[in-house]
Amino acid sequence: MSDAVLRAGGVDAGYGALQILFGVDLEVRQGEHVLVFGPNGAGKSTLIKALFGLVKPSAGHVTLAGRDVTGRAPEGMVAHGMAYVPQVSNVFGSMTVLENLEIGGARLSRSRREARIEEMVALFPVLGDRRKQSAGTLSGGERQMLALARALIPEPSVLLLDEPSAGVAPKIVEEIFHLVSGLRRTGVSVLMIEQNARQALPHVDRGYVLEGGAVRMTDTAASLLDNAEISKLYLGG
Amino acid sequence: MIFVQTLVYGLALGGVIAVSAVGLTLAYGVTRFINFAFGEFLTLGAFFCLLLAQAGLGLAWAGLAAAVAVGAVGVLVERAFYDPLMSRGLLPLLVTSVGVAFVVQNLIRIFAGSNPVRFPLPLMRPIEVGGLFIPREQLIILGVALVTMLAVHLLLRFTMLGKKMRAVADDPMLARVAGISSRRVLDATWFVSAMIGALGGILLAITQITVAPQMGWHFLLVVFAAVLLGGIGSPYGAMIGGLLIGLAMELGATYVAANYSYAFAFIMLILVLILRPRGLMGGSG
Repeated sequence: MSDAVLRAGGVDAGYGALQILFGVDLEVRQGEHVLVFGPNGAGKSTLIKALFGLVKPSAGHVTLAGRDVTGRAPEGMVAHGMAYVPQVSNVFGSMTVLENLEIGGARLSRSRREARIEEMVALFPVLGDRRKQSAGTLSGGERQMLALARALIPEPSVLLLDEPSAGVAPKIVEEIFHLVSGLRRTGVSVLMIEQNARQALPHVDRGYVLEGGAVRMTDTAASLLDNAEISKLYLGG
Repeated sequence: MIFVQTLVYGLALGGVIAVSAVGLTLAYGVTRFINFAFGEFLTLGAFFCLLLAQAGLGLAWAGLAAAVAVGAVGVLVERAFYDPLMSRGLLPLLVTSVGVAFVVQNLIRIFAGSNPVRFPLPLMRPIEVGGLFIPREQLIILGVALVTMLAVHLLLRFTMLGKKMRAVADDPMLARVAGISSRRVLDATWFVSAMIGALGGILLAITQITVAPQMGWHFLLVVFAAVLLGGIGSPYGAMIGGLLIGLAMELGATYVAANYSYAFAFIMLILVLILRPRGLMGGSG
């Protein structure tokens, strides 16, 4: 398993005295797309925050490409190749689409930044048409695309997605999952948490079932979809 | 005739207010707290400029050097007093900033005395345009104010630093997540805020012809009025708010009652806030 880009080992985390995660182990391999799902309150959101340094793990460690990054601040995580797209308010609404992308590339040289922005516009053509438009006026789906593109600008090795289908019109949800799935071409690894697991699972390689702050099981997406018990318990029938 | 002359004075005063208000609102936008010691950046700017001019530096150079020095003071004040309290909520910060204001005022008293000192302006012949005498000082003030506002505009729109400042002001959490080191952006913001405040203070010294340890503190109310009028946190709002407040003060003083120019600033503010509670440009706040 030396090809794990992101690995969590025995991660405990919580808020003050309230412990939410209990010894979570998981890994995301090179180029792999992974879904973490489970009931409400299972700790999905705390997990993604602990991985990205928004919540400091009280025990265990997080490694990124073999380097221990446990408890680093988010800006340090970005510098080391992790990117994160929050669930809501994930674009700078008072800035233009282009400026949002520029912020994503703030650490890059000007020429590299401009090149990356063009690559993102090629990947999400609708953003190219709206460069000068204020991000606050975008539709839910367009916002998600902009948020994805912004996070991808620095060429992260792992992309963490917090409920990408939240706040998006139902008929756009499938399109969002398609887009994420399409990121395979770029080679980026993806770890996504989703309420909407039934719809997300077919688009990923592997899934983790999180319940009560611990990993209950992990398997390939196909096996999880075939598993009658999983289907009944976590995928809404 | 008097009307046009009043307009010129009003625009010049408005320029002074606008520059100061931009400085205050920039720091507010990024930190979300109102720095009550902002007036002291104005006062310090005027006194540093006075000091350097007395030491023989030309007024323009003295002004620039003073502004940069006050920018550094701004970063020091932030690091020493505000940053350690950032996570404690707004009230401790507000009280601390009032404390900082009094400490700085009294430090200036210790070194410069309490009495107003004449600002060393060279004598300048007014410009005559069609029977109208326009003092050069007012034109210089207006020019410096416009150039400063243009510089702020260019900074915010076209530089990476300015875009980072806007990103942090828009959503500090998302800015962090996007990999922006808020530490550096904060330092830069305080530097720019204090530097612009110092420029405002120097312009104020030119309009008042004197400098005094409490000049910034007294002027702060009018600056607040401009900031609120334009919509708090909006630099462009602060520019427009400043110009409108300046015009209201001069027109009111000329045509209604000269002693109440501050009152006109607030009448203007109240009228606008009744119609637009978030200020002129405070839509997205």
